[in-house]
Amino acid sequence: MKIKHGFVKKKVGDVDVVVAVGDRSVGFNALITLNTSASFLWDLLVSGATKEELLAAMLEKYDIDEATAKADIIAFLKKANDAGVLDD
Amino acid sequence: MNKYSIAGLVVGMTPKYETLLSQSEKYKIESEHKPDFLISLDDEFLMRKLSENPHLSISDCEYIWSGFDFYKNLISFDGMLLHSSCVAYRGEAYIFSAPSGTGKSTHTSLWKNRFGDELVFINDDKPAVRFIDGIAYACGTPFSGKTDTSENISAPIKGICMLERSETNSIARMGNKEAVIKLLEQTLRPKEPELMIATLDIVSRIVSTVPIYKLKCNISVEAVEVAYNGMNSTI
Repeated sequence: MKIKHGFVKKKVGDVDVVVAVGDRSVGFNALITLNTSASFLWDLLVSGATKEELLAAMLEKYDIDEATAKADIIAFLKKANDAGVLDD
Repeated sequence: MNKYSIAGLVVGMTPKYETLLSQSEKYKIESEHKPDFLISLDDEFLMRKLSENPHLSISDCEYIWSGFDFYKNLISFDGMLLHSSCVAYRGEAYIFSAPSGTGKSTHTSLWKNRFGDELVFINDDKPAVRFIDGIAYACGTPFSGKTDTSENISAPIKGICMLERSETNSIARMGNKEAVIKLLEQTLRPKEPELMIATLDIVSRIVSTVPIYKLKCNISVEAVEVAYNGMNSTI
């Protein structure tokens, strides 16, 4: 999985915000805000990653158990899919 | 080409039609200063906008798209549009932002009734927010939407209220996340990545330097008192 082209993520104040730019912005007017772990997953998906790689990276980065990490990943992927920002 | 002093910048433009000519008159200057940027829409562009928007006149088209051009250029000078009604009272700017139709201008007209001659409209619909020497100023511009209420003045921003209609009046500081979203919803979001990133930077500076409130209000003098006191309390 990979984040589609045409999105920019930036820290605004203390909030991670994603907006569409270029031709992408024509059909995509929404804003996405990301919490800390979602922001971490976003960065991994900019260059592309599998679910297994996301899980491994989450466990490496955060002091959490596997079930919690999986739940975070599933929640993020659902949000990203619903927003239409992911390429399979 | 004429020169105009808008939001502390020298802008070059040559208005041809009535709306922009009359709206920009009080911003006109005689200056040897090289313009910071030019606004120049060619006839072909205006004719295309006219045919895409048959309910507008050519004068409307020149005015509206000159405004877009101005606000897009402004982003490179630490400033951005904030869709809001903005007033100045005793040297400080009070900004009320909300989606169209919420009642921004209705609220600021109550401020006018309450404070009289001491209250000045900086811009009733589309003021510029611009950082000058690290301070956020609200600035009048000729581009004030459907009303022609604007003054060529700037004032440091006391506070920004995100306005919502309500039966009762209340004001509270808004969390950063909600403030960022509301500010981005009420400004231009350019499609050029570098301008979008610059816009996000400006929003970031606004939320870290200007208090932002959620104002719930009805149409009453009390609404003005609640808003004014809320933005002037020290907590």
